[in-house]
Amino acid sequence: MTITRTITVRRDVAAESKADAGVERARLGRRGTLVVNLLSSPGAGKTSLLEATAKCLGDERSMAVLVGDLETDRDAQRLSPLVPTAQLTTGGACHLELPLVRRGLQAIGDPRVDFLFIENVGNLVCPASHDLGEHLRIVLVSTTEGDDKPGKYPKMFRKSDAIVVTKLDLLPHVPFSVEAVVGDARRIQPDLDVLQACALDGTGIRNWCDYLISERAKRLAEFE
Amino acid sequence: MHEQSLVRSLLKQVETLRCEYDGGCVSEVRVEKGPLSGVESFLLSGAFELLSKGTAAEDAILVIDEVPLMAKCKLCSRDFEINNFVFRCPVCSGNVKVTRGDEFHLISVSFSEEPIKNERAPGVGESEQASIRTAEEWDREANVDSSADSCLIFKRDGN
Repeated sequence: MTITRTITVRRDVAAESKADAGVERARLGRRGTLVVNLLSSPGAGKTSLLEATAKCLGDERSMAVLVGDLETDRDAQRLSPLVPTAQLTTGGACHLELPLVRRGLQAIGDPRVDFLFIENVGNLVCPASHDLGEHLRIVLVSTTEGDDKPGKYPKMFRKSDAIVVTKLDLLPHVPFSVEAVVGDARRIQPDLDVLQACALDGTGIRNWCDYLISERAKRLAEFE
Repeated sequence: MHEQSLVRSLLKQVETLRCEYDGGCVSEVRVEKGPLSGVESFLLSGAFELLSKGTAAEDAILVIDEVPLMAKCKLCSRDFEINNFVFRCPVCSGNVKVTRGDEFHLISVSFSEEPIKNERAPGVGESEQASIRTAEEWDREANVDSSADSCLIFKRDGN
């Protein structure tokens, strides 16, 4: 005769990694670094936005970038002349996880900067499920990828704090409605902040930088 | 990819429980997942089958309970189910707080064990005697179904 014994626990399977992310968030928050997780589809303009941000914000605030890709260090080559940058190569993995982020941070000497940007792997699915210890999660939607993305990838938009509509200069040439994408995204996350930018001609970049500065003050207050 | 890393964490927790409760073979692992967990049941089952090989949970059945996406309106406090990922109150259009549906939880682990009679077997060593517990002790410690025959004791599975 075999006896079955059942142990009931109800435990969050990802509790350990969530707690770990919380520790990192507090560590960096206490020393004044706002961690910004940048997410989007491939080619939405994350690296271009960071280049423009570094040029606009570089004189008044310190920043560093960790940039994730499956292969190559092309993004790091673009950004490293402007800011301390580490390339995180996932070797096929579709998202970044905290241990890799920590390794990248160590590679650039764990600098005491005002902003640490984590440019995630271009993907609107898996990165949504991984807390990297960020204080602010930003999702970019470019005018060239269509205005129907929020509804297709609800978790990404539900878990984000703000959306940045990029490649604004192409708006006259593509069937894209800013109003439609914002409406769709706010149906999923009514609290989403909305920004618009064009990295090539600089439209909206100052506004984006001011937003970052104000969010830093607001979000780091709880760690003081 | 994501499901595989979650299954690794899941199996680690199952093994921790097995050690903690001196469990035998794992016969069932029950989990609960919500629509916002980002976990896909089909991929989860496949990853469990693959990664449990060679572990105590090799022959275990993975039971996945899918829970609904629930929310509370921040304005009128009404509780309701979210459909089609519309996160607004259907009555007052207020913003909502998700109360259920973004979790991926381990709910329970079942072990199948061979009971032995309540008699000391000849030649049983001290270390083995020390590891024998009564069914009442198991019940108390592990919230076991007390319908199990209480005149039986369980022999610790040292593996």
